[in-house]
Amino acid sequence: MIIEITRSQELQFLFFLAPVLIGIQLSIYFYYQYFKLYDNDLYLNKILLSYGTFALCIIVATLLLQNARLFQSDPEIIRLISKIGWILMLLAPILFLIFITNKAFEEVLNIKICILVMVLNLIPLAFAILLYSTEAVVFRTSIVLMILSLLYIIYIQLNIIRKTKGVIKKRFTRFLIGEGIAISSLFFAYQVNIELFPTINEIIFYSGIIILTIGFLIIFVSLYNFPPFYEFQWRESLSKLYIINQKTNNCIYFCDFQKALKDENYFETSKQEDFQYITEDIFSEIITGVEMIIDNLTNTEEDKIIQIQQEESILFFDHGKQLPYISYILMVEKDLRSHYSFLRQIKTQFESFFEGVLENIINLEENPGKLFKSFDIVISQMIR
Amino acid sequence: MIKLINQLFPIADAIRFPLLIVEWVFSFIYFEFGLSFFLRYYKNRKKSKTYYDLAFASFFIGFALLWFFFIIADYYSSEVIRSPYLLWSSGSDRSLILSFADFSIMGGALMCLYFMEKMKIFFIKRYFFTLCFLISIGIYFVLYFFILDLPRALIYPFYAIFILFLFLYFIDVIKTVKKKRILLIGAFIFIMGVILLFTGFTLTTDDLVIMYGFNIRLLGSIIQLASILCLFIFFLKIPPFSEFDFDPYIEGIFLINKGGIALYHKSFVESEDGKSGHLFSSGITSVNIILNEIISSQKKGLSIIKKKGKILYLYSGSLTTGVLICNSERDHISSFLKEFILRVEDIYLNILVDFDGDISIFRPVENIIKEVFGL
Repeated sequence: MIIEITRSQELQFLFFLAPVLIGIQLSIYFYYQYFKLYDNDLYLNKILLSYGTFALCIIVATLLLQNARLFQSDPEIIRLISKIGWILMLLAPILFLIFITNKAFEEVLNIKICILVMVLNLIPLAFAILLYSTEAVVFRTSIVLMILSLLYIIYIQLNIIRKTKGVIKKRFTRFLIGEGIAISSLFFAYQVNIELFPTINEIIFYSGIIILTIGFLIIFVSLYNFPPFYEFQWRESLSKLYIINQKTNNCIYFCDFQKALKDENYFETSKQEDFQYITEDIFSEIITGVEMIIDNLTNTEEDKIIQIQQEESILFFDHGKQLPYISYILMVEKDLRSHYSFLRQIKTQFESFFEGVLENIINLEENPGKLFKSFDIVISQMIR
Repeated sequence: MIKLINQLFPIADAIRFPLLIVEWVFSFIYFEFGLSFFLRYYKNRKKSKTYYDLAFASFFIGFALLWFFFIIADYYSSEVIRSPYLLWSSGSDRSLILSFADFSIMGGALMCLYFMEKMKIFFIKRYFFTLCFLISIGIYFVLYFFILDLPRALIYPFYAIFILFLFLYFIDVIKTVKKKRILLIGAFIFIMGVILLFTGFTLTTDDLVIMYGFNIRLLGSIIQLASILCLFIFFLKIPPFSEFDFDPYIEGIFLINKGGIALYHKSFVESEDGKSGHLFSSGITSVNIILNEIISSQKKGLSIIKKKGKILYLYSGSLTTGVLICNSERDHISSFLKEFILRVEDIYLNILVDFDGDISIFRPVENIIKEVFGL
């Protein structure tokens, strides 16, 4: 049956289309990113599938519910469309969690809690499927159980933020803020759907739409050029750290991360003289030499080298704030943005740990390696 | 005095709702395109010296605003002519909103031309198109103060200038990307998208709607929606063409053999210290050997040395090493460097294997540089 569309309905639908369009594009973007990174064989990228499916289910669900509310007059069709809409809405958090309930994500979630939350979310879903109408009080009350899943999804993302560094951390935080705002609009959608306050239903509707659009826009901005999720594995990609005094060409601190990450007692058992192959001091001299050659060849003595990238390894460089002749060199396997901030953090920690005495002890004639070895405590905390 | 003409607007046909949805959808998506370009420019503004993203952002935001005003004018504004009307002797709400639409696209197109021409001379002299467009806007603006409902024919000079500019821009794009097949396909998709956009837009003009009814407008709107698909694929899959314009970024190029002898070198900037190519090549070869040793890396492949404002790209083939000195980071340049080295090694294989010290034979390498890097 074709019903006449009023101006008010038309405008409500137009405004509603804005977040729907952003949501659909976000979903496509997540799926696209997932398939683009598929060859990397990184299980962590499954979270892209989770986000894509979650966004798609929520958007299609709200689209169906709005269609039923604005354009349908046949009660049977309204009941059917609403039912499908609610089923999709309740499926969204379950599907989100299904993709990531795996040991690979154990750092950020608890598998048992995940399963429990999903089972609880199945209760309103079962009601939506089995009951004749979604108007039933028992169904409406059971929706509260869905909130648990949403809260747990937010908790997982808080953990992700905790595990990342620098720019990536900022991007995830922005993403979570956007997501939180968008999810809060579901509360408005619920109010509009059950028509709790019929007189101000339109105001609630527009407020919800504005909030949803703002949330999606924040996600949209935070997702621009989003890094792949292997940033989580920045620790595994760490290789070695050298802190060099370029005045004396001595390596004043060294850490082999590969060993430190494998062996819990690494910092207690390792000694300054244990390091094999190219010793730290030779390395220091070579690096200082390379820096001098490059400075001279490119005629840029004032600017220091930031990065040297070879096929299999990358060297990140940073230089002391207080003492510019102290070079901090981080050797890694992958070019991840988290490494930049990790190295910057090492520099800040090193300078504050030895604050006041750094200049005096660094210029001691004998290699003060043993003294700087106490920095192990800080490094071990940073990589745990 | 109140007068009614045509009575086509606000659209009240059965086609109103589907037409409105289609037009709203593509206006919104074009607005997002503009926003994405602006974000891209904002994020890369320190790294990249190009304004292409800002140019596209201006055009798409201007185009989206044009359609937002069209929607208000054609669906929600009255066509009843009043006289006097605000500043003018006569006019209607619809013509006022339509004039805002015209100014939106004029502003967007003007900014687009300005940022494009800031980067490159497309015709006769820098800012030629911007100046022509600005003069046309000036004339239009003066007339606008006398007549609100200006004849649509006055918009045609803007079309002509912009289409001529696009034509020259497309030629430039094709020249830049002709060596890379994937980019050529990208350029084709992009040009296709822009042509669809303009064709669709033309079909939605009032003159055609008066002649053929709203069905032609729906067709035009659907074509504009389809153009989004082309542009979407293009923006998602293909890196920006500006990434392949290496001219402003490469400062020098070196071809070095495994013994550290500079077989060929060319500088694109004036050197202040007069360091010889041989000194540079020996130094860089030593650095490369040292780095391979200390990082325990392969003897072949890519190395990048980054300094503030100076990036060295080194690609070691089996017989030679290519070095590019750039003033900023370029994402795709290393694949071009690799292609350059492989091509040189293919051509000069016998010479390199049994090198007698005569480097004059490597002079034609200049043509390979032109072919690969377009320099």
